[in-house]
Amino acid sequence: MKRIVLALIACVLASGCGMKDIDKRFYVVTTGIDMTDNPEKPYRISLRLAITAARVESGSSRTEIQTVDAPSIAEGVRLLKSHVDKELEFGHCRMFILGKSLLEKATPETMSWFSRRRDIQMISYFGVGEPDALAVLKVEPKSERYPGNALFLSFGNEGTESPYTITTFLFDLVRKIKERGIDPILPIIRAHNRTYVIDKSVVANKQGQRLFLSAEETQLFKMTSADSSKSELVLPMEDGTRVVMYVSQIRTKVRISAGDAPTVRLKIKVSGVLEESAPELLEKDWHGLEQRMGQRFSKQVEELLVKLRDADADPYGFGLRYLAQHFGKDKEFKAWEASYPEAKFQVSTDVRITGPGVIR
Amino acid sequence: MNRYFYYHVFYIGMMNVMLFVPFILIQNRFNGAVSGILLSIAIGTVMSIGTIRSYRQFPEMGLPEILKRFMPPWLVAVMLYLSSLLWLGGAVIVTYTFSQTIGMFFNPDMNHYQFLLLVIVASVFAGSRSTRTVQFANEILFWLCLPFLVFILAKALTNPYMSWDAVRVVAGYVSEFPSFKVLAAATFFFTGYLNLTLFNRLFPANFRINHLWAIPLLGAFFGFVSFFIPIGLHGTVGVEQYVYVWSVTADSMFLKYGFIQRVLFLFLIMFTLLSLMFMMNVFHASMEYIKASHPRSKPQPEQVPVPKTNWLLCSVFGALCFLFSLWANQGRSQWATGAWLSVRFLFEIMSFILIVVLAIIEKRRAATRPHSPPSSASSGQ
Repeated sequence: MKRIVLALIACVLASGCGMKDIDKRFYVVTTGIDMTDNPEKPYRISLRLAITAARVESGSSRTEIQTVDAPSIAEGVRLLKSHVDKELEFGHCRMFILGKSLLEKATPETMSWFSRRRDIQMISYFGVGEPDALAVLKVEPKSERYPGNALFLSFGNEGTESPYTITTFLFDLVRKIKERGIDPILPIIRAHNRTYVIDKSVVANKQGQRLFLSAEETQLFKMTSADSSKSELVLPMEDGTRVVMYVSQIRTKVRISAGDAPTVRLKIKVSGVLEESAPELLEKDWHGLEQRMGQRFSKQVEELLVKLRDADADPYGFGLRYLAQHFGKDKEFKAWEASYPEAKFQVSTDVRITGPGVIR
Repeated sequence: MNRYFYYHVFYIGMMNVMLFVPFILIQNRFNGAVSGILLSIAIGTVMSIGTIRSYRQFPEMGLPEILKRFMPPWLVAVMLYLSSLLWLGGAVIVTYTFSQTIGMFFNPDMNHYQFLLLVIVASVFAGSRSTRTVQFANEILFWLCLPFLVFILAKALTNPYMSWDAVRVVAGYVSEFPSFKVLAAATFFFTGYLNLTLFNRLFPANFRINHLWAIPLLGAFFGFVSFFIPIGLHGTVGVEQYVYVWSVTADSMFLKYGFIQRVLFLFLIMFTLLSLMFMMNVFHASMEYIKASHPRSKPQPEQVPVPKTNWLLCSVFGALCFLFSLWANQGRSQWATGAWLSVRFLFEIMSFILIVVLAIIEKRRAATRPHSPPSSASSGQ
């Protein structure tokens, strides 16, 4: 018994090394990476560091920003350690912002630093900063309760549930960069006064081109690719008023038929209630209104799909779906790649208006 | 009593992650991993059920006692030494992988020999207990693991980011023929039945293991889950870049309402328990084999307090783990794991054939016994 106790004590003592107290660490809450014009030090790494405080209340968050230019991301982070007095800790950094300039020049290898570091969570969010990452980092939202949480809450339906905000996790980004038949899509974060605007997105295809999507296109994409409800369906009327439907449920089914020119069929089912409309419009022509809304939505989606196809971008993963549906291998994927620019799209939308809301 | 058998089937099914089985399968996902898993279901089922039925001929006997009935003592000793060496190889690899994984994700600044020391001290203590204690410890550890397992699986299978398209694409490569290495890795999911070689000592004479249909189901379930979930979350191409593929997969899940956000930490706790379970069983089995190799030894599954020999043998095993980690690095341990899985597969086939042959001989002996010498028949009554 004595020996066991001695052994246990030895273990407890041994584990004391290597630990660093919480007040000797700097918690990185947001990391921004930009491209500079200097070819020798192409990366500009900016870290937003939390200044720990005892009290937590709205607006009490304080942060500090450190920036350095370096030849690689890893070297930059090491270099930054000499700029601060505490050990940098990435375990709580859940937001990475890539500058627009970086996005244009980055290779998949740039991403390897993020997935190689063990302390960077695979569930951290990625976004593109406009005009650059540093500008987004410099925003200090008034509503922040603790450092960095305004951005965390914006993504993943954790706080706000915006139909315009695309959420991309690190593991999702990495897999889509490598995967055949699907391209990564990233949200664009803009600094606006003391808050963030996240309503646009950018698709990066495998050829290294970037396609920017507007806010409306981003919403359409999010609705149809992620079955994201809490969005809206709009129908402008001839007399200038608009009928707006709140989407409470949306389901999209994708089928792809094989052939020389593959046809992608999207069947969308939407249901919801009217939020804004002229009085008694629904009672006059319930079914007609549903049909007109559906037709307009189908047309919008089809335009988006054609735009994506023409840019050779595939954020929906039609290529992967095609392979999955036909149990395809390399040969089938080559055939798909060759035929995708001529692919046809058929979108049909079935709109169900469950009611006009609380009033008639 | 059935459950004590199935605890082993369960934990070996889950343990595969620590022995790079998903990693090996995923490296070969386009070259026969799917068909390898399917084939291993057939092989594993035949070997498990064949072994279980064979052991029915030898009530309350472990492998050492069975061998001693048929073979000269020196041959028995050689065979027992070989099999304990084989299982120790597995334990040594698991301790190394465990200390590496924990070191990498919990505290990379800490010397990983300290983790190794912690887990080895725990395993030496656990492994040196009596067989009955080990059996009960298995039950406790199993029930501690199960909530984590169910939670992580539910989290993975309901994950909206899980790409079933990627899973289907990889499943489409079913027509490729598996290599030997893949087959060796895939059959590991079924290795749990081998606990009978020791724990059969504890089962009462008239006991029969029921629900044998559960063995192929459990093995297939763990096989498909540990192979396909990483593919669903990391894509058909991206998945190959991760060495600790399941740690990264657990890290790709998100707890919105938990005290912690990373499922990774739950996963690591589960694997601490599973590794300890594996080490305990392997240390204990190897120790019992070596003790039984002595011609005059008698099995004492409920010996309390444990003799000094137990401590001594288990400490030697612990020292072996240390020696391995002095030599190993990530590349070497992966190579060693691949080699170990292949050797284990060959060994398993041979021991399966051996036990079936011995069981048939035993059955014939039993059939002839009542007729030939009348005296022995009367003494049996």
